[in-house]
Amino acid sequence: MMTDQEQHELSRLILELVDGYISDERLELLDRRLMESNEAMTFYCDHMKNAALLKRRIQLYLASANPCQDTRVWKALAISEKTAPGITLKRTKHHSDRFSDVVSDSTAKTSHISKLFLYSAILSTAAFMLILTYLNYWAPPATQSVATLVDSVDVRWALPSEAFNVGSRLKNRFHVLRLAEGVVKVAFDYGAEVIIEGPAEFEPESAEKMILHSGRVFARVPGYARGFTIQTPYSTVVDLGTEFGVYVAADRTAEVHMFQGKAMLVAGTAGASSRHQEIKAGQSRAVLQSGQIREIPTQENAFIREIVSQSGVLWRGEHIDLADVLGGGRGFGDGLRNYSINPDTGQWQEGFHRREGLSATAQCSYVVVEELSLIDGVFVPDGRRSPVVVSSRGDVFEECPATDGRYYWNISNGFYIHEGHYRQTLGDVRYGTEDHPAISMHANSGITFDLDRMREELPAFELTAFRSLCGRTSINPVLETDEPVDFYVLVDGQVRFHFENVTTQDDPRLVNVSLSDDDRFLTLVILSRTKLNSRRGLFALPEIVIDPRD
Amino acid sequence: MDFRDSQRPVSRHELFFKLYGNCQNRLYVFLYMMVHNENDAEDLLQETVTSLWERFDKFRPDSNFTAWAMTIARRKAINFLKKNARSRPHLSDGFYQQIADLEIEEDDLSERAEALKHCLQRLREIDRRLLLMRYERNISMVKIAEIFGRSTNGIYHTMSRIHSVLQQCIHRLLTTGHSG
Repeated sequence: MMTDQEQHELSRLILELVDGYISDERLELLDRRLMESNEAMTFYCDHMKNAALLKRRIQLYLASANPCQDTRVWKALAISEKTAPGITLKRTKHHSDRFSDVVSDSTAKTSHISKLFLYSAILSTAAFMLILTYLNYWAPPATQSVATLVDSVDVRWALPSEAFNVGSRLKNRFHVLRLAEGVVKVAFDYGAEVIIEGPAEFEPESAEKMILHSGRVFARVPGYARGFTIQTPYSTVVDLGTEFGVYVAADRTAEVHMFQGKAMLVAGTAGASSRHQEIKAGQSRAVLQSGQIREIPTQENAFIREIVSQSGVLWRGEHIDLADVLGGGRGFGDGLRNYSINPDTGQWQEGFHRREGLSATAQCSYVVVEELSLIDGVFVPDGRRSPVVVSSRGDVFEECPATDGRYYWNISNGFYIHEGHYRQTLGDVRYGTEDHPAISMHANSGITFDLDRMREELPAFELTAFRSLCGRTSINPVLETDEPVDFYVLVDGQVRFHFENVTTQDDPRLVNVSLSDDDRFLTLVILSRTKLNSRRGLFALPEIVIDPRD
Repeated sequence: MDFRDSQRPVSRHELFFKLYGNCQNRLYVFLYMMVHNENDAEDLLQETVTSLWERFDKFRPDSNFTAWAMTIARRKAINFLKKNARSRPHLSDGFYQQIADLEIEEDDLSERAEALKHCLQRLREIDRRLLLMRYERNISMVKIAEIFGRSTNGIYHTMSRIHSVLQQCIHRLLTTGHSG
């Protein structure tokens, strides 16, 4: 009889075999053991039976909730579906709605749930019921905690008895929770996180499932929590490792917007004729009460995807707009356009402001901007007066070329438009507007952003890159000559991007500077190596790319 | 209810899925033992059910559907193993022959599932969690090791121990009626 140690070792070999990580020597050892001992062979068979039963438990559980979710069985049978008659639903046209197309055609992407499938799902489910009964130890007991409220912003619950705080455990089979206002972040025990926007009505059903009766929910599901499910009155979304948003309207119809990965959308109530689709990133669907699925445009910013209660940030997938930061905002649209900073004094003020005493050179020393926490400081670069300090820490722009140490205009969010004189355009697009924000800079000036401050405000995020377009704005040929300027992007004083001798004839260039957690200061510079004229440049759509940390 | 007792006519579809539903757990377990890989077993089960349906016209209602299904599954597994012998861990032909000759009974699986349920409850919470991650969540051992901040070798060691304990418990329960 095998000893405990021998059984342990045999288990280890089998696990390595199953994972495909077994070496040739150990494969040979396993083979020898199995072939020389009936007991070892029996052990192998039992081990594999146990693993198979453990493996299939979740599929059975899903199948019991809704036969249509047993996707493995469905997939297997769909192959032979070609020969089976489908149940065709009529295509309905809506005249003035936002739906771009009706997706209920019998295309390869959209499968009908045929009679064959229905029989398959129902009967195969029935056949599983015996084992399911045996495995009901995993079914959640009558009431148990299945999720935790981990963050909230400006929350008001409809009932005082539901006044959950951060850290509160949420139970299943309790009753419908009504979030009247605000936003909560809930972490389910199996790993999925959801952001729920009030007003919303929802129930945590289990550690891997919630029911959304109304409102908006964004779900982020790591790979190991795959299978997380959101059920709505007329549909069910089964995650396949992804990020998605679900909106249930007052009439109980639903929208599903996929942002990453993919999910299975099952339309219709359990037991009714249903249809399903796999939805991939960038795709969105609406499910009507009739069970029809329709394609709709993806709304990138329709869902709050992350919240930071300390700073009150509600993140909808945007990145940090540095023009907005220059306008006194946090980078998410709360800043003021038409505000500017004097690069000589660091003063932040409304309006654009041309420099007084144009002929005089500037101080050319680094000036801290006191009013704006995310901006470290500004300066007028001139390589003749080294060192050119570009941060409050003393980082130096070693390669800074010589300039005449003068500038004309403040560094601004937006742009002073004097029709007929200047046009804030790159290519055909006019920047410095609400839809196309830009930082307008005149040679010679520089501005430094404090990345660590941004991290402090957004502790749940990683700053991964700085992205922008840069180029010369158009000029008035009567008043100006097309003298070139240089663009620089520095990180902690080190040049990470440069675009030199740029005139209005040059196409704008994309800046993409990757950032790491060690990077502290980001500096944007425009300078001219020749005598000063009116030389403007733009950092258009300037943004710090952020991603939620894992 | 046995569909043969029903007075209403039974469609070909219903008949197929009833018969298939009765044996698909056995088919999966058999394929998993043969090819010792979850994804490959799933793929082969898919191929098997497709073949069964395509040939269902030739199936005689009075013959043994499970035996017929197992024959097809066996053939598919053997072909798969031959075709992929060099690209995946391959044991000796004698081993696969022994597995191919096995009979897997539904009762055996049902009793094992019952014992498994009982024995899982006797495991430590952390051990149950590990099994759940590996088998329900399909997380690789390497990833599990990362999550727990342990070495891959250590996680293999732990998982081997859990399997051994589980198997001993199931064996005791099935043979003596007590888990010890």
